[in-house]
Amino acid sequence: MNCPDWEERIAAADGAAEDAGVAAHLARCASCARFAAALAEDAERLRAEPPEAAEVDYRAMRCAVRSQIVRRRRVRGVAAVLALAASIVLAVDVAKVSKAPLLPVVQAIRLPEPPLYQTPTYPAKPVRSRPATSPNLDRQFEAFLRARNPRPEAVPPPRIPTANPNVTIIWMEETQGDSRE
Amino acid sequence: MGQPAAGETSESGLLRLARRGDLDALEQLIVRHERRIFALALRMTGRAADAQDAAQETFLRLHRRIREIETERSLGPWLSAVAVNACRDIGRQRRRSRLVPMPAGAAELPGLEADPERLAAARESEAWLRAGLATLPEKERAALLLREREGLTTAEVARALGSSEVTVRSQICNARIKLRRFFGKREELG
Repeated sequence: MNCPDWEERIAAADGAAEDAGVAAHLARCASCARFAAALAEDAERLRAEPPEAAEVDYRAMRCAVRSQIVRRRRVRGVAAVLALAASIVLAVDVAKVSKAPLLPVVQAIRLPEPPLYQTPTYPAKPVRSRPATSPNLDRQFEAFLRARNPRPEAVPPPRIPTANPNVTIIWMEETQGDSRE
Repeated sequence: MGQPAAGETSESGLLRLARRGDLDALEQLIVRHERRIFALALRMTGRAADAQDAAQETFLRLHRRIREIETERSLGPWLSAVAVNACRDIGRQRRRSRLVPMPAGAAELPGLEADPERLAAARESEAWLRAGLATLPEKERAALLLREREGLTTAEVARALGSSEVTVRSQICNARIKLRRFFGKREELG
């Protein structure tokens, strides 16, 4: 009798007692009963101690474990000493700093709160008015200026004769304000 | 670091002393479990050298994490779970899983060149068992060994392997069937 469907169920059950259906099937199926017995044998094989287990030098293994633990403890001890030394140095530094005169404490100055922004009120634009001028007034003012600052007499520029009778150098001097003339 | 007191030779007493840093107590705990852990590691890795490394690593982890073990009852399953994971770590470290491919030819059925008569019966059976285990995927092998060999409950196996109980049940079932088929072939040939 071949019962592939039961194989999985038998293999999944941890003993026939766990699965009543499996137990009932095993009671009437010789093939599955053999399969279950073989599984039990396999489990027994797995539980058996391998021959090498008797040949191992367990003492050497324990020594190796112990020496690694001791080494690790030493490293941890050195690290602890270093950490302690570092903390002492740090503590001394902190003590030095704490003995130093304290810097003046900066006090916060309370500034007046800025006023809320208000839209400035601009004065009304002045209306430009052009004064009424007459052309006569301008002329009168010009005459007044001329009378007050009379123009100096025009001096003819000096002439410098050269060896060539056709060429004469005229020395012209210009002062500021004369450019308009 | 003295010897454990006469009343404290129980596992819980040794654990207590070991937690306080007593190396002798720790060593006594190791003595109690070393053989079982080595055998488990050998079943997992298939090689004695790897099994020794895994067992050593297991006991180093015991020292490092001894405070995690709550009671003496949990020490055995705890060590088994740690050993299986140490085996898996060793396999990963070596860049190839020794747990799947066995030494050449070991996972195959023996041919004519292998002469079973020249091997002791126990050794032969062991070689077959190892070859059969080598055909299993790593997690299935680990689940099967923790369940069948170490007697852990499904929940404990699931915790050890970081899987769900449903997955572990399925893994154990598959592993049992595969191993049975492997031995079935052997029996047919033998």
